Amino acid sequence: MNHPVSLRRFRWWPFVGVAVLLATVIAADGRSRRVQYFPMIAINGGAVTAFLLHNPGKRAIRVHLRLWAPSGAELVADQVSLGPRETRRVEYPGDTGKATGGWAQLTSDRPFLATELILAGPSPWIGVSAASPLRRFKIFGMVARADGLQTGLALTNPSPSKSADVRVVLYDMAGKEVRRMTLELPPLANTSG
Amino acid sequence: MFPGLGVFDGIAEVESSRPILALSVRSEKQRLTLLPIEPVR
Repeated sequence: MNHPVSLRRFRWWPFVGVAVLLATVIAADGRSRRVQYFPMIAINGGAVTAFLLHNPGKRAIRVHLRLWAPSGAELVADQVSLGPRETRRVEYPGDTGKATGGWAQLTSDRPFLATELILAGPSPWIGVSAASPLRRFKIFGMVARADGLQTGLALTNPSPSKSADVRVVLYDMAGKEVRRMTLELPPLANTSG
Repeated sequence: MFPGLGVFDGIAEVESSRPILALSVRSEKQRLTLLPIEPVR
């Protein structure tokens, strides 16, 4: 049987690459939304924050990206246009000053997919998934004690106008309470600084 | 990071008066590892 295009000559590997990229985006988020929050960024001083954005729809969209410092000051305000089913990568290296943390809010008038990669210090690129705002949750501390190891919480109040009163209770591996702390998070503030 | 948290092995339970975002960050010799949160139901 004759085929108009030989299967041997068919260059399939670019399609596999695109499929892997899309699978990564979808696995990182799972569903598209109009507002997406990322609880940690790294920018300036050699640190880089990158976003992978995908428009799953049939109409063009514009995604607004806002990156905030731990104090709640705006670091970056940008917008990216995406055609139907288009995927784009955007990077924010910032300036040569001191590296800083913070958080990010991405919005669009139509649903979109997004995931984040950060490059900070000697670490390779680290993936950061979108997070949903919650009032009650648990977070694992790293289960290993060693010199030079620290575990911290990056907490963010995404409200532009109201402070959040936060209570943190630490339990050891046996479930015994070891410490209790409270914190007032001002509007748009983040503790990753 | 959250002030005073330092090194700990176990789990942190967090309650907030308003919805907040959270991420557990592990730093070992400046190499970062991120851990997701578990909602309490």
